[in-house]
Amino acid sequence: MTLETVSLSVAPNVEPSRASASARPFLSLSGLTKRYGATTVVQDASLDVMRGELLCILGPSGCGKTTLLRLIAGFETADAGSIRQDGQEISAHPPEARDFGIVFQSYALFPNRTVAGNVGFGLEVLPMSRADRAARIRELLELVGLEGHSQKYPSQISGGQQQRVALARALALSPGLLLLDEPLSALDANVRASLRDELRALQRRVGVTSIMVTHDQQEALSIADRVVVMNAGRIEQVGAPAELYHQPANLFVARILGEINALPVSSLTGTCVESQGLSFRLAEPLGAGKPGAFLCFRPAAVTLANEGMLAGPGIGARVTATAFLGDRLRLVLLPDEAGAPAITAEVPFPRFGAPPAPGDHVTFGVAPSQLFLLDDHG
Amino acid sequence: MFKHVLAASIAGFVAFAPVAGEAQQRTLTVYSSLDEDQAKALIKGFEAKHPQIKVNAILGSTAPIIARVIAEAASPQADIIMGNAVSALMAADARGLLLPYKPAQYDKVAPVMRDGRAEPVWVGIDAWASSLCFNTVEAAKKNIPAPKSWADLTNPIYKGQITMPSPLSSGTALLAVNGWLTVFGEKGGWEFMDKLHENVSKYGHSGSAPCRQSASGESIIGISYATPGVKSINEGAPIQIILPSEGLGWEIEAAAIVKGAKNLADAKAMSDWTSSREAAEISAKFLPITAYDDIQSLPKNYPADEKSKLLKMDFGKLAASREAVMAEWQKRYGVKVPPKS
Amino acid sequence: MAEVAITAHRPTRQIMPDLTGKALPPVLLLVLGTVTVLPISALLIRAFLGRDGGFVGLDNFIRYATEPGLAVAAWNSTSLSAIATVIVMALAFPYAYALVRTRMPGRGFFRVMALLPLLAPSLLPAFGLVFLFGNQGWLKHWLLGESLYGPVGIVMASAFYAFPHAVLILSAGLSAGDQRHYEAARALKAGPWRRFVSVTLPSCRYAAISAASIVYILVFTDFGIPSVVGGSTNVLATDIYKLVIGRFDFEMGAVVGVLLLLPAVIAYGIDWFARRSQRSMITGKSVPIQPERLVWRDAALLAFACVVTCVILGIIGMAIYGSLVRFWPYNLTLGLQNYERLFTDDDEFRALGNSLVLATGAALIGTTMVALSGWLVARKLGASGVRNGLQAVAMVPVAVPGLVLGLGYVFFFNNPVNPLHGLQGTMLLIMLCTVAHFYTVPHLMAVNELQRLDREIDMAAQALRVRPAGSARRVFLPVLLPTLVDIAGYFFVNAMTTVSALIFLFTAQTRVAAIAVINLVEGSRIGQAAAFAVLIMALSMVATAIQMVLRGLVLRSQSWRRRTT
Repeated sequence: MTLETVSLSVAPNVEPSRASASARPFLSLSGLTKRYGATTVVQDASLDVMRGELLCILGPSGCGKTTLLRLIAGFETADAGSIRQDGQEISAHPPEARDFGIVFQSYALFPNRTVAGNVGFGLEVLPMSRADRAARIRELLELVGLEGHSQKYPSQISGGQQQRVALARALALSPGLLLLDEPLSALDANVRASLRDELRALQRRVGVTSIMVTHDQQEALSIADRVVVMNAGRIEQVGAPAELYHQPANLFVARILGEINALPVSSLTGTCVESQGLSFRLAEPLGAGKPGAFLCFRPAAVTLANEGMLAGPGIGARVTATAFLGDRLRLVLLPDEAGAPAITAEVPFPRFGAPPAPGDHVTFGVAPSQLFLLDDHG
Repeated sequence: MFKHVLAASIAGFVAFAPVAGEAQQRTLTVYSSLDEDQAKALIKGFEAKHPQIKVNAILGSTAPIIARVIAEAASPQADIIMGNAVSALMAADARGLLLPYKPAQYDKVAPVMRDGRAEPVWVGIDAWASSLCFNTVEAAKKNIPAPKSWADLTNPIYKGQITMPSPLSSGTALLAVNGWLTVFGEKGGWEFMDKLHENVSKYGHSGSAPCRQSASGESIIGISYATPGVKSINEGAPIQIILPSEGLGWEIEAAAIVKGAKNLADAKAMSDWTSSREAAEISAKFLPITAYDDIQSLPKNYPADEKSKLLKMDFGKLAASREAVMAEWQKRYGVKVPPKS
Repeated sequence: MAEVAITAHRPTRQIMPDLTGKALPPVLLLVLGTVTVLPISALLIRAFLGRDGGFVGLDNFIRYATEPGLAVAAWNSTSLSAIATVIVMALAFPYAYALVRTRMPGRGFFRVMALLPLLAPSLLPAFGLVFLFGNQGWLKHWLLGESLYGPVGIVMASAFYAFPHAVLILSAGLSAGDQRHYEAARALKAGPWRRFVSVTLPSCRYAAISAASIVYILVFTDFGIPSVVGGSTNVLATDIYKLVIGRFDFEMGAVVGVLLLLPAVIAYGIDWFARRSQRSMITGKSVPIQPERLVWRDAALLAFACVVTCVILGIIGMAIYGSLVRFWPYNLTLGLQNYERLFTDDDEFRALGNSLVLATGAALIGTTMVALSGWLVARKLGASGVRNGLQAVAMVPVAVPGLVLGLGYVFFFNNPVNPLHGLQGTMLLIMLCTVAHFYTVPHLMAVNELQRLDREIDMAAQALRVRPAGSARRVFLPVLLPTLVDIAGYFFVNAMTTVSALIFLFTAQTRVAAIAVINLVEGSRIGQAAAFAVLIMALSMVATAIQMVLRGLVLRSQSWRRRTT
């Protein structure tokens, strides 16, 4: 292999606009299955990843998301299914024959090498001059904002800095695919938020197709082009963050993307839904009633009577708890109706007058357009 | 010193390639349980006679040397065993590991020092006998008299003061036991040992150790043989070598050629040499009893009357009963809890 | 050439299959098995064979079980090993704790003192103990009328001999904690004692189990100590000697050899179990321990370490004294006469040179093999079956008495059928035997050290297209280097002092100093034997000093180990 064939720049491999235009996925998983003995950790996973996009795999711990990432990397071998990257079938390739960079939650820096030594680890086996390598390392360290730290050892820099080194190291070989395994989980909250934004900006700038595994829905929603929700080894739903948030395929997806009120439906006639003694009106009639389905709405969909017009008859309830969220107020409401479940609401913090307090009686309603019916499973 | 060590180290590395170098010289591998100085003197004498042969000697105790020969049976490494207890040699012979050979001067060797079979497997070099090492200083402190006979050892005054090797691992112990069985008879012998057992504080593994322990005051009486006692006296130990009055169990140390010897001709030459009068004269500097009856010698501090106190023993019978004696001993005394001294 | 397009895409690299990961584990397993398990099996198989070589099932076991004395020997072995283990652990744990978890003054000095017993041939402490506590011993009355020769002597000498092994393993385990656990415990208002009980003890549980198993097995299988100070107390390890050497009954000896393996089999099970539960304790994100200063604790441990050191120095010092007197205990004139022979006799001199060759060779071969096996096991390379096999094979030698190993070597290599027959009689075979004999502890040291690095390190390197061999050279080797220096030292000093496995293997050309010591004892030259043993110890001390200087240099060159620049 010649030097020319190795991209030494951090310029985007392909313009993101072109990537979205091209229909052919960069990475394509189909029917991936992985078992450990009797337990199936990844079951029949199929997924297309477009060139240049940042995809987040979201799910609770043990859902198989990390295994899926390790299958893509080649650290695990699938029992069934195929992986195609850039048009090539790679599922039989060992990791070192695949084209990816990876960042781990634990950073996994080489403790005996300096920051520059870590970043240059993969470059050292390439036929390139010392000067070219130094230039490349400098370029990468600038990219992650660690210019001044190149001669320090991992134990001498902070966690956030260590993770930046890991990121620079992963990008050193200009991989076609960047895999991120919970890269931010080990960091403090404020470092985490800023590094998250940096990571996103960096990914855009470099344009590298990226897959990030996380269990933090906020992280996933704020950073990803598309989110894959996994549960018990299966892919539940794939879509843009807003799409998933507003049109979750099932209750599991709805719940993992944020808090939601889910009330079992007892009857459904036209646009009128009855649930545990409470009745709601839908924006438009749905098809035939599905017994066992849940009526769902986000806490933000709740409006209090004095905030404005309620679309239907209001529901009387007592406030049992409040939490101050800055510009919003979180309320737990217990409807007057006997046997009705507690409802979580998030309402704008009133600019004038006293906010509702525990013990107050209020009337609330839910905008019909914000109501949807979901099944337990997809 | 460091030059020496360096040279030795280089020699050690050369040993990686055992056949490299010294191509013009033949080598002969000799296993020996003789006293180290005696063995070296005999080898030196042999090499002087056969300058083209280089002897590689492996020295060790009686039993480990034979165990090694038995273990190496698949591909014998030794050419000749130059000095080992006949009873132990018989164990190797019973496994078919020794080659009969009649050395040139076989007929001149004292009859008792010969194998006696038509095709002799071994030929005697010297003989050694049971004896007691008695620490006079410690005995005086405790007001304990010197024993004169084997029977004296059963006196309760010696309780906890006697050490002896176990016949299960020591040829020296076996010849003492055989002596007792000869002196007191089969039944009387075991009865004697039952009583002796009451007084013994320790059964060890090494035949020379009881004498060393007596010499260093760890015990007062050690049932052993004369040579370690002589050496200890020469080094300044306050001990006396006592030859009990009833007579001494004894045994012959003999040479035997190993079947499958790689250097058979030279091994035969060695067998000829060890059974020669000249070699016996060398051995006589270390022990009084050699293969030639008429050689008179008495090494410094060696007890004078050893030869006259040797019991008349039936070696054929003793060799045959070796395992039975061991089993009986193990049954009677193998699980001894030592008495408080 | 004009055709070469500069493409932004990276081509899929043509990567050769990774030979290191695939081929090395089976090859190493084969090599390690050939020098350990196969020779040992060559002897132990005889437990099931008759003297004529035919299969007899369990007849030999039955024959042995009906022999009087078995129960006593088995009970003595079991109980005395247990007592010695309890004593060693009780002494070694606070000692190791003081070395790595406190700011007690003189820790470097005390570390060296703890390792002294490793440097001396086993006869040396035996002499020392006899001179101190024997019937003519200066401190005889300390035993309150008990005789040294018997259980008391076995336990004392075994404790002395096993102590450094326990300190080595425990201090390695104790130094691998996480400072943040202590900070967390402090935040929860846990006092020093609670922090010790709730953080320290659980974190070194694995090391403690390993140390206790190793100590138990060492004592259980040791022959030298009971043979010198055991009096008439029968143990299994001396039984095997009596059967094989005294009665030439290799079949029954093999039966005892099989019995001697039992504790190791149990220990391997425990180790395997402990390893499973240990997994999450240490991660690469761990913050190194920074011991706090606790005046009362450090002072108490200093006093304790001084007492232990005095005992060690007392025993060794007494042996040195014994080598200098004219005739113990009756002529205490001091002089160097016992050393004279060593400088005048060519054979003894050659033995000393051979010992240095053996020790150097064993250190080189052993360290190389341990580095590889430790790396493969700790970093989980190759098929799991092969890896578990390596770990199991590495655990075997510690359980096997040297006598069994040495005899096994004769049966296995001294057989014209064996293609390695040519090794018989060479120094290389003796080196391999020595490496095999002492393989377990260094292997565990290497595994423990390498397991402290994150599992993901290997994956990160793979993702950078660096082969396992490359990351081994560039990451794991530097990390392991100080430990490898220690391992080389361990092989060296053990090779200087080992005897039991070699008595069947040495030749006139390869006779080593420790064998010469035995020959001198057999020849009733106790003073000269002690002098030679002291000389061996002195050479081992020089080697250890070199080892420590090297280790210091390595650590100094590795500035990444320091947290601040």
